[in-house]
Parts: sequence; structure tokens; C-alpha cells
Amino acid sequence: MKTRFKYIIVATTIVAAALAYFGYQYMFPEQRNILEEEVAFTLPPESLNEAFQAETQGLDYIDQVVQTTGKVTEFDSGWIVLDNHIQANLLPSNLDAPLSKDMEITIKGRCVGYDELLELVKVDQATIILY
Amino acid sequence: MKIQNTFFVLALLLTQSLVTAQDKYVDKNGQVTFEASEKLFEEVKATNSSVTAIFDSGTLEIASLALVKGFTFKNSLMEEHFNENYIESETYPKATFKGNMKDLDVSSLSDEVIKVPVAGTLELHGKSKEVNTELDVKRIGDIIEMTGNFVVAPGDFDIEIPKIVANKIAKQVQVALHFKFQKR
Repeated sequence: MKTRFKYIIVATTIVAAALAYFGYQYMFPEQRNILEEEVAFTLPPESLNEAFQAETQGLDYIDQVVQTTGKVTEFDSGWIVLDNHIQANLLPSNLDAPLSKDMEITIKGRCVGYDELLELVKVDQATIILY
Repeated sequence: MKIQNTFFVLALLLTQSLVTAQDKYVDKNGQVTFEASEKLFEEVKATNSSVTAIFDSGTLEIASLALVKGFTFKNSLMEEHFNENYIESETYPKATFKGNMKDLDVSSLSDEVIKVPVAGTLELHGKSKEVNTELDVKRIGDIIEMTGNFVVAPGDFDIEIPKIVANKIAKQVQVALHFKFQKR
């Protein structure tokens, strides 16, 4: 009788722990890590910008990981503009990256959408992967 | 004579466009935070650090655009629900504000903060609402800095909060903004 009671207690504890673990995983899932994610689209800045003028309004690209290569046309701490078509906001790990105008770089980041005021596609959580 | 006229018109157009270009101030990475937390419940708060804002010091007009997908929450499940169930960011990808700053004398701005009334329209989730607020404005070097707060209600924008979570989300949403404008 005693062993059976022990068995029930142990089993209940294991089930409760598992429920708590999976429940927590469900309630507080891990944040996306864009740098680790696989690239969904590789295309030039101009094509990405044009995609948002098309009938589909770039819906296919929103929230997707994109990789693009272009010339730096403008930059400041934490952000760059490529080919006057994309504004990429860099992850903090890129803050020391040596940037200069007209240099060609490749970035990987999450496509957020099209900004009509600036006429730029905004990309966030971006990382410079190639100089 | 005709050629001269054409040159005159061209010169006029050029100076005009130069004047308007000089009047424009832009912030490509403005910050907007909203919070709808209720005491004792999990924080409901999101920040977008890539909000665009354009300020025209000639007409005193201000325009701002935030891509809804750019708002990040601490809890990514909350972010997912916000995008899919509440704000429906696939259908309504942006939030915009267009307004006018009454009684602002840009030339007299200094590092001392002044309060400037702003009236405008906030548009999100396909609905518009008039917003009247005050912004704290100052100038540091070439940068015009503006900060402010205002309150909106989800109901104003036809955003339905399901009953099951209604007591976890505040009826009044606090919105805070911080722009650093640089001359274009």
C-alpha cells in the first residue's frame, strides 16, 4: 500500500512539473533570433522596395528574414540606408562596424514593412554579414 | 525673352524647393511606446524604435508613421496576439499621425523645454481619431527634440478586447513618444 502511495506522489509530481514546463513554454515562448533564422528571401534593395509598390503590396516579405546587398547611401549610429531603398536598423552587436558612404555591404534582417513617408522599406534586427 | 522667362521660373522653382528642403526635419528612428498594463497582471507594453517622423518648421506640420509590426513586446506570445487578433497588422500595417503644432516659434527654441500644443489625427486599425496633446520641445544643437504622452482607448479604433482578458488590459492606453529631429 505504501509503495503504491509513493508511486502516485512521484507520478503526480512528474506530470505537474511537465505541465508547468510546457505551460511556461507556451505562455512565454522564446523571442525570435533573426540572425540564427534561415533566410527566406535574397534580393537587391531595389527589388524589395518595388515589391511594395506591386499589387501584392509586399505582403509576402513582411515579417520574413531577408538578405540583401547594396551600397550604403546614408548611415548613422544604429542604422543604414542601402541604395536609397532600404533602411536597416542594426542589432547592437553591429554598432562598432566601420561604415562609410558608398561601401557595398550585405545585411540580414527582418522585413517590417514599407514606410511611405521616407519611401523606404524598413528592416529591423539587422546584422551586417559581409563587407 | 521667352528663354529668360523660363530661366526665371526655373530659378524660382529651385529656390522654392531649397526653402522647403531647409524647413524639413526628419527622425527616421523615433520611439513610440504604448502601455495598457493593469496592476497585478503581466505587463502589456510595447515599443517601436523605428518610427518615422517629419516636422516642417515652415508650416509647423508634423507627420509620423509607425509600422505596426515594428512594435516589440517582452512576451512574444503577446506580440503574436497583438498582431493577429487585436491590431490585425496584416490588414492594417501602419499607424499614422498627422497634426499641427500651434504657436511654435522654431527660431526661439533653446535647450530649455517649452510646452507646445498639438492637434491632429491618429489613424490605426482603419479608424481615425482626433488627438489633442502637448509636446515638450527643445533644441540641442541641430537637433529638435520632442517628447510627449497621450491616452487613447482601444474602442476608439474598433479594437475589441475579448472578455476573457478584459481585466488584464487597461481601458486607457498610455502612449509615449520621443522624436529627435535632424534637419534634412
